[in-house]
Amino acid sequence: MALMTGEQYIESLRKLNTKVYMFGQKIDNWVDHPIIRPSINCLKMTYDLAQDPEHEDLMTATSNLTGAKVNRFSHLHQSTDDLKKKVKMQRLLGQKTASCFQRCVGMDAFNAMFSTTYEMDKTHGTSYHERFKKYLTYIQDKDIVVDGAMTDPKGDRGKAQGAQADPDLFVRIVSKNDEGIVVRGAKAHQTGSINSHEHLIMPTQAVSEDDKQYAVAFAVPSDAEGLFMIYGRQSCDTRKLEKDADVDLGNKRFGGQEALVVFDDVFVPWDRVFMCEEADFSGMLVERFAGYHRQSYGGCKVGVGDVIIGAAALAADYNGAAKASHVKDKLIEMTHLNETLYCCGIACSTEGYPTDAGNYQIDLLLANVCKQNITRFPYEIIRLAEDIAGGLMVTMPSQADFRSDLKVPTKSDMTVGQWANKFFVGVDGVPTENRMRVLRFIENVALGTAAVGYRTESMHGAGSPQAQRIMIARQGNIAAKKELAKAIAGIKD
Amino acid sequence: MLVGFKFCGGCNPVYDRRAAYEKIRSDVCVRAAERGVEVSFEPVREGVRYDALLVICGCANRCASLTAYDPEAPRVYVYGEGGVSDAGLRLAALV
Ligand SMILES: Cc1cc2nc3c(=O)[nH]c(=O)nc-3n(C[C@H](O)[C@H](O)[C@H](O)COP(=O)(O)OP(=O)(O)OC[C@H]3O[C@@H](n4cnc5c(N)ncnc54)[C@H](O)[C@@H]3O)c2cc1C
Repeated sequence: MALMTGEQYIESLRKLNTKVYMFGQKIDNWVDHPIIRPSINCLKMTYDLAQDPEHEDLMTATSNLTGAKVNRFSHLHQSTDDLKKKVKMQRLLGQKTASCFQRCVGMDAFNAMFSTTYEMDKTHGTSYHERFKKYLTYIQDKDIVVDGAMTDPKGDRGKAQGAQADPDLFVRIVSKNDEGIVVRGAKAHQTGSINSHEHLIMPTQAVSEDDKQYAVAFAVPSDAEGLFMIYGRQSCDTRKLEKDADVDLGNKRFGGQEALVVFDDVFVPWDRVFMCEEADFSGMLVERFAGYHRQSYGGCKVGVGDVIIGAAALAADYNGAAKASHVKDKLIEMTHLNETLYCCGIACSTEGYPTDAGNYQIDLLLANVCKQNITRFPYEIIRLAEDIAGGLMVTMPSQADFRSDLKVPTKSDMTVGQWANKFFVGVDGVPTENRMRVLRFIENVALGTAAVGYRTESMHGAGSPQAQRIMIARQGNIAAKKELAKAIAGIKD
Repeated sequence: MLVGFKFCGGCNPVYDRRAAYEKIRSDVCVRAAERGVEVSFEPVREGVRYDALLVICGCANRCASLTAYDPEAPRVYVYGEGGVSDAGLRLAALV
């Protein structure tokens, strides 16, 4: 099948019977819901740009499985060039949406699953790899979205899966038969889950042999029997429900999405099971997925950073402060931080290598360094944007006030809108509304709905900072460094 | 004469690639018409022979993939505002 258009993607979602709950209600028409729709628009962009000659070089690739042209989000990386193009594609999408566009978790899961199943089969004599190839061929052919789902609710962080008071706090196999397996549990924080046609589930952390029922990987349609989602609310989300909501949203068209995905005894046929109690390979799958996902952030957050830097520069223009040397220097600092993140994304891609299965893996140390910087630099970038924006980004009246015809009964006989526009003007020649728009955008990323993606996701997405430090410690090659020091210092043991 | 054009993916272009393409296409068509030659442009396709390929890249990295396309066709790259006129001249000389 040819690549889907953006419109076809939206229509394909309408055909799903995905069960969604929000604010304690079941949402039947979630596709057009004003809180959800901006996140769907982000995913639509991954389809629109794939059809655009100006972007298809990044957005599409040739499948090694079928030879067909596929969306890069369902591609298995065949070279370091593919790994770099992945990062560039993510930067592009960050620029176009200024949000989390949600499709990378699936791509990262495909690549991790492809190489892990290959190695698992060699050790265990299983046939997961062929199964997975068939599954991925189906995904590529249909050009559909898959949520790569890893994070379990985890309950008491100090206890292993099987030691939890409630055994369902990690996804587990509850029964097996000739036809398949039945799974129970939940995945938390799932980016784009509602907007995905399918879910590809992985364990959240390495599993011991004693807890092997938690070593499970499988795929299910998003509307599978027993599967439902509870929408995660975001700061300022209900602004989207306001009449004629526009300026106050900061980013009217695009946004991110996370949800809790619950599996209440979901049946999975064997042809969709890719790990079943092979606890010894759970760590490999987690590590590889996390590695790819830590690379991803060196693209997507950089693209959003590009928009933030542009917005800060515009705010300075509109404020009449653009010529101040400290403002120029702050823009330089923001650019420096943003491009440093990009360097990390490109570096871990350039240093990538082929796995035994043939697809390319990023350099694990550099990908972890990338993500560690992501846990810090976006915070500094947005802090500098807030500095340049000025306090008005959080104290200005609403769009309704700026547009109000209500007369204020004072001597001047002006409307609320006229007063607001009079006092919030910046430099001559720039409409007050333009100034409000750019400040609301910065507010949105700093502490509104988009802060979920730009700030807290930068901190915890693909693992909290400590998870990267553990990997950096493991990959740091300290023993070799000691030998270097001994050689230079003339130390002979 | 047939020219295939190809854009890089455009992750951080330093100029307006679409405007550059339009300018080059119009310059080349005018110059070729002066010589009585008709030139058409199309997005490059696999398996098609071209008289030349125009590759419009957003920056000097020039990362557009061309391996799948006519290996015989000479390539003209443009990767910055400053190179637009020159690319037009070079392409016009090829068609
Ligand atoms: C916006 C957003 C989007 C996300 N999208 C996805 C997604 O699409 N798919 C997906 O699978 N996941 C997703 N995640 C989940 C993400 O991977 C987790 O948030 C992350 O792994 C941290 O887990 P947690 O949130 O449960 O925090 P916790 O694990 O509770 O961590 C909180 C703190 O406790 C520390 N801690 C936790 N356990 C221990 C321990 N045993 N010993 C010592 N310290 C510990 C951590 O280091 C951290 O400092 C997303 C998260 C966010 C915020």
